[in-house]
Amino acid sequence: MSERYHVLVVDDDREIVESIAIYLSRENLEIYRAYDGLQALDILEGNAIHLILLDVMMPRLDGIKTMLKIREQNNIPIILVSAKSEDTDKIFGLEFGADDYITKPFNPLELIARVKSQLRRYFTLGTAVDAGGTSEVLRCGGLELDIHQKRLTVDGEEVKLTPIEYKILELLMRNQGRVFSISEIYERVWNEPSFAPENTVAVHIRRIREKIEINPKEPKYLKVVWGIGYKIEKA
Amino acid sequence: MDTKLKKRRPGITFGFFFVAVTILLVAALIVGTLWFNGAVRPDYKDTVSYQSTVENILQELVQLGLGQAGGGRLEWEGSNISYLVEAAEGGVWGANNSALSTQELYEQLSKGYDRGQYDHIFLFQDGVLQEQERLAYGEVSSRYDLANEYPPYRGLEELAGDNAHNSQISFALGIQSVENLRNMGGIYSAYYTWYQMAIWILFLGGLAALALLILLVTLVKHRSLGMAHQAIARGINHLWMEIKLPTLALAVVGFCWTVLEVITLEVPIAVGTAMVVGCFWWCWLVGTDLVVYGKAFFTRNILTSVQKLLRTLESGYPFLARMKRRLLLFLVTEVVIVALLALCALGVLFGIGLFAELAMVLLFIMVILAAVGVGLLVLYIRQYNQNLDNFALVNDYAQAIRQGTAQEPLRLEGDFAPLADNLNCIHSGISRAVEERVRSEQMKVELITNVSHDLKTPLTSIMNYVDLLGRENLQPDYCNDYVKVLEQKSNRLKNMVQDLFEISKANSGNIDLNLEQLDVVALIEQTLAEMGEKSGQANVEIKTQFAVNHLGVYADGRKLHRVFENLLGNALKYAMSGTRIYLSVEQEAEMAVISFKNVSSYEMNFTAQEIVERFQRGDPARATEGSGLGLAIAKSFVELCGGSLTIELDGDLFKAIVRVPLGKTFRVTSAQPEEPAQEEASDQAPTLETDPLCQQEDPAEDHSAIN
Repeated sequence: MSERYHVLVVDDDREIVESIAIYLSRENLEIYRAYDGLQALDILEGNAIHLILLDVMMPRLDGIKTMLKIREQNNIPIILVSAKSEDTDKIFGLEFGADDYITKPFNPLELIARVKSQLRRYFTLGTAVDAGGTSEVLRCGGLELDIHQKRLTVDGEEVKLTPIEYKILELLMRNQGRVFSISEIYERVWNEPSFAPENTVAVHIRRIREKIEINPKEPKYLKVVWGIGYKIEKA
Repeated sequence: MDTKLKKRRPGITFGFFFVAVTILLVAALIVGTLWFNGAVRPDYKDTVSYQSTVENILQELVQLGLGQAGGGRLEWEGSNISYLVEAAEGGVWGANNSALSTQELYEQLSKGYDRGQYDHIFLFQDGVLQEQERLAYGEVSSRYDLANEYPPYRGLEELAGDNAHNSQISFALGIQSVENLRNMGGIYSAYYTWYQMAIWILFLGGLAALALLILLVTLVKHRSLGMAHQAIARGINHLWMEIKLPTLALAVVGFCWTVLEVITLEVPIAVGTAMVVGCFWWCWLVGTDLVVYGKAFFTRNILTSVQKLLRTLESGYPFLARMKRRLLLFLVTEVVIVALLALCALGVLFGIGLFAELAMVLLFIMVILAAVGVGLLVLYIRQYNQNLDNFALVNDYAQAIRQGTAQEPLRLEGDFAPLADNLNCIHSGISRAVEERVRSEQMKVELITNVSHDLKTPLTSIMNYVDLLGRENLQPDYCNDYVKVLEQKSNRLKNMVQDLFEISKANSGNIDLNLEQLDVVALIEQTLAEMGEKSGQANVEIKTQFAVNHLGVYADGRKLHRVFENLLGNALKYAMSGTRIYLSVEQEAEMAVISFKNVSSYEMNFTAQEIVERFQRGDPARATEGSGLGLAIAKSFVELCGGSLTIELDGDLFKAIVRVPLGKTFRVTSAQPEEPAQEEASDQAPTLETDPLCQQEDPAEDHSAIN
């Protein structure tokens, strides 16, 4: 990274802002602090900000409204950081224009990873859209699977996969949004009929998730449909 | 005070109105009577008493001229008049002045008349009234046309016609003007009576003017007057129509009749006036009732009152008794009427030859009886019909309450009114209770959300700073161990807060369930895979025993996953090192049965009941990780999915058994005997086809909604 990215941290709890600032400044990021939505908008006006960490429940102007205001003219990544952990809250936040959603209390390492992922995607990958016309590339959000070179990159960083893992991922990415049952995956990847429920498939899927997801417990790409199968979420 | 005045104001206004109208009525009646009887005229010479006095004088003068009266002088009236009578035979018979002939006197009188000395002068010559002049209406003088404007006095012609000598009588007469009248005689008394009348009339006029003024004021205050009339109408409306209508007719007739009687002086004026006023006000009051109440004026009658009375008599009895009594009363009345009819018919048959009149009367009575009987029947049927309609309404309303669609309270009249009332009460009670419960649930959920937020925010800071501390190299060394403890405990606190939040939500019923068809075997495989590293850590082996390869259940996948995760985590945590955990899936009637079995590493000195309570832990010392909510959450979630969780303790053997309802397709095929587990290889292909999961997989869009 040639220049330092500017990150705006917004939370009404000063200690949380401070701790986030400590973590992020270790990652060579410039930190701006705001303690409510209005302050955040002020800072955004006077400074070049590259990413915003935004609390939802705040005095004066809450996170969702602030985000809507920002989105009127700005397209930078916004990560919501909230104590609201309900699925509906997450869906609501993402629908209203957030790029990611982290629930409190969070793992600091996960937070850093998500911030870096968003920055990478927005600034280094955002412009490089599919230059090689000959190669077939499957894309889903930050996932890029090059069919010819058999390479997987996550937010621009290469990830090593075993042949089985690669085959499973290719199957799922070719059919984004579709749910595959365990036995179907087994039959199509191993190319032999499945007789007993295959524990191996589930284990492989977990390994893939550990490689491509920032927080495997809350997967962004490879999702478990409990009691039915697995799928790659349509981006 | 103010309100009192306001309350009284309509009454006061009506009082003034009453007085004013009464005064006007009485004044009009008195003045009308006086006028009609000639007692009051603008000029006193037009009054009856003046005219009769003059008539008397003229007759006396004629008598004098005929020589029938003695004395040759008018004694009584002489002072207020000048007269001269020439006898039939010639010569002056009598005079009270110095004139020598009637002609001379008349000329003198004419001059005096011109000067205002006389009001009224006559010249009677040779039996004919030749000249007559009188002062009228304050004019100085005017001459009357004898024929038209001033009728000849009654009796003069008769006298002239009857007697042959009459034609020779001549006289002249002048009546003194008012200023010159002496205080005696008929003329004066006529004048004096007129004078007194005039004063009375003036007084009455003044009173009437005052009354008119008051009337105008009360009319301006028409709102207050209207309120008074409303109140009066309310009062009068209590009377039966059968009383009001005849009395109204009677009052109208009485009013007209009495007015005529009073005017013609047939009844004493005081009594007549009182009657007129009374009749007038009765008409007014009943009319007010009629105008204000309109149709309701007629519904207040004996029939409705009888109906009401019957209803109040019935109201003490329970519904069934009331209905039975009504039917009985109706039947008895009808029977009595029929019996009476028969009796009358007999009377007519036997009496028709002997007493024709009696037969007619009986026939008339029969017609009335028949009408009453039919009327009763119609009434009864109508009421029965109405009750049926009301019953239908009540029925629908009860249904609506049950379905929660009832909005407005049901208002009914008649026999079903109490039932409708009771239903209304029940409905409002239910809706109030439901509303309260919804509100309290909302508050509970809000409280949980807020508390959880308030706990999580400081926890975030704690965890972040503990983590930051953990990255530092603290001095002295053992401080690093302290920080590690802090880290562990804050992580545990985080898990506890999350679990607490979840169980509170599950127990308050405010949780979104996403029920769908899913394969419980696949779900267990997935759970096992996800818990891979944990099961590897513990020195425990997991053995799975699946009776079937696929078992569809209808449940929420995430919740069920959480249940299995908790139960498996529990087993891993408390299983004795070196032993095996047995995990089995079976189909049992309509349920999928998943059981977890492990050998406990410590003595389980608690009951199965206690362990699923919130915050109960297997080890009383609470030394291990966990919130103590694991089993409670599992139980809540299983129950949310329509299943059950039972814990069985057998020595050191710990068994957790989950029962979840089967999916639809499995329920249909559940009649078939269970597939033995050994045949799994050969059975694979057909089961795949009948598997509901495979059919579900094809439309990919369906699954996008799941996550």
